[in-house]
Amino acid sequence: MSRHRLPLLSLLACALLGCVESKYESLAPLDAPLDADHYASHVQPYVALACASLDCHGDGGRPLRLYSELGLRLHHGLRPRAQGDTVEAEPLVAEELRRNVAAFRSLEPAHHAGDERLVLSKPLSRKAGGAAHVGGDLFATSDAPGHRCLQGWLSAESAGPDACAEALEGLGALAPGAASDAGP
Amino acid sequence: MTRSPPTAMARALCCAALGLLLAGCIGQSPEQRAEADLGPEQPGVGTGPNHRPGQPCLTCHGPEHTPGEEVFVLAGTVYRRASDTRGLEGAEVEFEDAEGRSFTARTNRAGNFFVRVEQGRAEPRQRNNGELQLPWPPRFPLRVRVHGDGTQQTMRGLIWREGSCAVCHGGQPGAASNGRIYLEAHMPADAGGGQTP
Repeated sequence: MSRHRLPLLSLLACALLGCVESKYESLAPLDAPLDADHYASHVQPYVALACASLDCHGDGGRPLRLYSELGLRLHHGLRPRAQGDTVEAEPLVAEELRRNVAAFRSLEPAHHAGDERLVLSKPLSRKAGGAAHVGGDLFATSDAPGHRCLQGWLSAESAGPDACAEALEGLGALAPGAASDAGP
Repeated sequence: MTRSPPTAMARALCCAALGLLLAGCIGQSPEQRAEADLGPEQPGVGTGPNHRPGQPCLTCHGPEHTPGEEVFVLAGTVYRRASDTRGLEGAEVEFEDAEGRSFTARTNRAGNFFVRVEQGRAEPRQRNNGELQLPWPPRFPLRVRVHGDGTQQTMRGLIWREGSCAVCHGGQPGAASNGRIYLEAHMPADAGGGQTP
């Protein structure tokens, strides 16, 4: 085997074995690993309504690409379907959830912590110390339920779930899994 | 002082730049490209309130690119069924904005509706051509409900920033589109199933 082929084959084997992927994943800049189950149960329902619509972070061309039941899907087959007079949403698949968690993780520069985190500062009102966000101010203050929901998850605090439920309720929209009131 | 003749390289670069210019690669903004991507008008339908149903209206009626002359804040097309080729006339599209203000637009004979801000107006005004005039710009996010002929659909998500319904509800349903806005979810067994609004 020539000298040139060996590194190439090693790289290929490494990629096939997941070494490249796992090295990339290990660049997680947050102090603690993100709890994917917590995300799926508590954070995703809020994120789906507040962030992941097709006209915001459900647009595949924007930073922080997020999947949601009624927004961006991995493939066409996951699009909600009509069942009689109602429309049933397909739950997110594991890969969509994994990608959402990865999107949040990859957003954060390594040196950011606490409220410096982009995911917290971007949607926070600039009057309250937030950064500019094309999508506008989602949180008037850092005490807003949505802010506490995300902050609780990122910092692995137990206060997160209640804040997420409160934030979801505050949006006042139908949850993605709820039946539409379509009817004759 | 004499000028040296252009080199072969300079000539080639000039030709390449001219070629790109002629091919439309230079001098066309993203908005112009999006407009061009919409294609020509439907045969027999002139420009006006009934044209281009199902297309993203704000591509040409947006605040930053307005070859259509009038700026819309919201606009779209409603169908009775997802499989229909014609829009539904008389459907009512009811919005509620972030300040709790409600307003309703009614679709024209093409199924189109469009919302414009008319400064100085005291109250919203619906016209027969599908236009709703608002005295104020609606504040996002918006909640939406569509009803007509005793049927209604409520959009389960919120509109956060996009004024063209067809950006998220364009054409066939897919990974990044919910398909058309329609009222009747029920589809005949051989029609392939409908998609959520």
